[in-house]
Amino acid sequence: MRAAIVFVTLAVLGVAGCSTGGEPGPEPEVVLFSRFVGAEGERFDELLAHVEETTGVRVRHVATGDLEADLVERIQVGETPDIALVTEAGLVQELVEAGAVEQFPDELAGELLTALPEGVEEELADDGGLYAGLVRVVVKGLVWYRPDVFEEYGFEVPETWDDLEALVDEMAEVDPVAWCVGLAAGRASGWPGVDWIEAVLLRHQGTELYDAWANGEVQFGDSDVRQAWEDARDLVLRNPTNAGLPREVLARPVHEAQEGLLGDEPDCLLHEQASFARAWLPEDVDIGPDGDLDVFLLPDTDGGSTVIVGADLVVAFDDRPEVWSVVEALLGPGAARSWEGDGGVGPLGRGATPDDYDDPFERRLAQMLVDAEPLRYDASDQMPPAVGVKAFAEGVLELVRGSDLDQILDDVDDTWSDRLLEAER
Amino acid sequence: MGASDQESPAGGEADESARRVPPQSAVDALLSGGRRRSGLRHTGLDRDRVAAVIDDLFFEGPRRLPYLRRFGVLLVLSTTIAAFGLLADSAAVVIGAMLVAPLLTPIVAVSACIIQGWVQRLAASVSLLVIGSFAGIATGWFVGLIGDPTAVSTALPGELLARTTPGLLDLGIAVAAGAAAGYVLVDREATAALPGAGIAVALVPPLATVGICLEFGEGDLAMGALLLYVTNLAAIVLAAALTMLAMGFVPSLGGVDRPRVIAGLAVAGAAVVAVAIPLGLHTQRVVQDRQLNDLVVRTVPDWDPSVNITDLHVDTSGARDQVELQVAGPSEPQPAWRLADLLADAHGDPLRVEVTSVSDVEAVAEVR
Repeated sequence: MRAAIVFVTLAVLGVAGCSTGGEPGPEPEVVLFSRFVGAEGERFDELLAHVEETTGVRVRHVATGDLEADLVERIQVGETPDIALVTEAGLVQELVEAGAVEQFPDELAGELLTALPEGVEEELADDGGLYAGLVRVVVKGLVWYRPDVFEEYGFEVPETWDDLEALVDEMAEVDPVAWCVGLAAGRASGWPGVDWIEAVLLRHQGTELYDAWANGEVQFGDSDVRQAWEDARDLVLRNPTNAGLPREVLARPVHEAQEGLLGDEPDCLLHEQASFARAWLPEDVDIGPDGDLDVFLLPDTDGGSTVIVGADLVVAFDDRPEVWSVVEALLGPGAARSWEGDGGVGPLGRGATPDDYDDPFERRLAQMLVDAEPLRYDASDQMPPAVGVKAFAEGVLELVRGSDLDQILDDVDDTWSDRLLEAER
Repeated sequence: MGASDQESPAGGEADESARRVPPQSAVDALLSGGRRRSGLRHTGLDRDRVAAVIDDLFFEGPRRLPYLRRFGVLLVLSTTIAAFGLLADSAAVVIGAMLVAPLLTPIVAVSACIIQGWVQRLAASVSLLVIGSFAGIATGWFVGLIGDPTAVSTALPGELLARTTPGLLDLGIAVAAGAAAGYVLVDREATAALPGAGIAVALVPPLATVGICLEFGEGDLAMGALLLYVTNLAAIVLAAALTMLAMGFVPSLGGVDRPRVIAGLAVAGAAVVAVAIPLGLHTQRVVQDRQLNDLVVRTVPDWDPSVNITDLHVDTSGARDQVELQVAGPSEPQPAWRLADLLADAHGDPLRVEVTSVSDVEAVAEVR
């Protein structure tokens, strides 16, 4: 019923099936809306140059640092882009419910459905139709560290979760704090903490609870979910030696947190962040066991190889041929290669293998995806954006501020029925 | 009068003996750069004026040591005054520093050497310039070090920043001032104008700026100031040389080593062209910045009529043009992407827009 109301509202506003793209002409143009600003945007523009070359379609790329809110606002005022790249399958579902996005053509959908990682297909498909495609996969739960600093202090890369806790205790004895953490990101502040809690929950409580929680079948107030929040807090925030003072953690911009690792006298020793953080590093930073920085996956309790992935998903708001040409080019095997160096990989399975990547870091990422057991899609990205993007991240900020955890979890659960499209109306 | 006084009556050369006109044989020796060259003589100026010019520019024999001492003292003092004036953001103090500065003399001496083909004197003058430049930068660095950091606050002073972004206008100023220096040197009746030429070409302020910026860790700004300094050097050398040539400070065609003179002028000309290229690019950037700035000001009312611009910075020097905009309004402004989209339509090039907003809603409270 709610979806129907939203659909009617959008229709009245003259949005459904209407976009800012012009009539097809001698030089067709599509408007693409994304979150890729700064260094990521420059790399994405390189991919778009490749797309323009292969399709003959001009792509007008408009990027914003606040994609979810701006996309919803564009839809509401009738300035819907032709194509958008979003990170949340939960948002895709809302757009599908509102009738705002186009279903992929059967031929393209059939090819893509066979290549989607386990657990992702049901998020992007509805009644057999596909509404989004995976443009890029990023590996979450990576811990960035300095091999030379580890060697200097005699630290070892942890194999299990217990090893990690022991390592953090060991790090309390040296000057730099253990974790580099920054949560400030404008209206999205707090999201790195969301990744922390997901990583702990999947590793400590298993896939069954993780999947049920991601789908809304288990609430945040559940005792096992609560335990994951506590475990994450204990590991990162228990003592000032873990990550510094709470106000520092709250004020430090997400993109700058990793800077604490660098320099002659590092401020911190470990930094948990997804693979896309590579794009935030200075260009001359070499990543690898013998490089300036290296990574390891947050370990499992039993030494397994759990991996959580995030994704950039392409959705189309208009079914003009040039729109699908661009979508198909973005999803083509050649697209991933032309985007190398950004810290993500194209989805494997459409003939792509780790060996396709010339860049050693991205080859490792691709291999992590191949070896992952279990592999799960980011839980917060599966939740409705009002929960996964807003309330969950705000709850993390409250946790750092020292608010009552039960109250935080109740507040997040209260947002499950909210919808971003509706809320913004 | 000593060389330093060409920039600096205040830097007074009290030693009247140094003003004496050398005996005829000494003039001949000086004219030949210490190495008699058969047939070398000046055809455009009388011997007294030539001797006076040489006397003003070159300090050789027993005059050399006192001159170098005077040069060093005045250079350090003038750069120190300039550096403090820059930090204090005082244009008057910076101008005062230029009146004390001794650098114009060895620069014009280089011009004279190029015209006359004097290699040894050229080497001596260039060496003095190079050493003096490093000393000036070091002095600026030291003043930056000891200057009270709180006096600088968070923003660098305008007088300092003004010397970090040279443009073609600066080249034009330096050319005209260099010509003036050459003219005044040869026309002995016009020496009263020399301090003005010294001020116009502004040699020590950019040197002090280089040193201060290096001490502050602002490498890009230091490079800008260094470019301004090199611009002034090259333009003065060329303009002064051409002016002196035009005024008859020339050796006879039969005796002069013409290829050497032409080569010297060519090097000076090439140096001017070399600095003109970055200056031209910079000037073009300034114009582009101005155009984008105006475009933003015109577009903001279309984007969100409820806001006022409180701060605006544009930068067209990078791969992607940047707009940093601060606005105030009664509520949150329209999304930044819409402004970027509107601007991109008119601008034509990719750009990045960063918008920060402050509420201009006034809250009043009183306690009794």
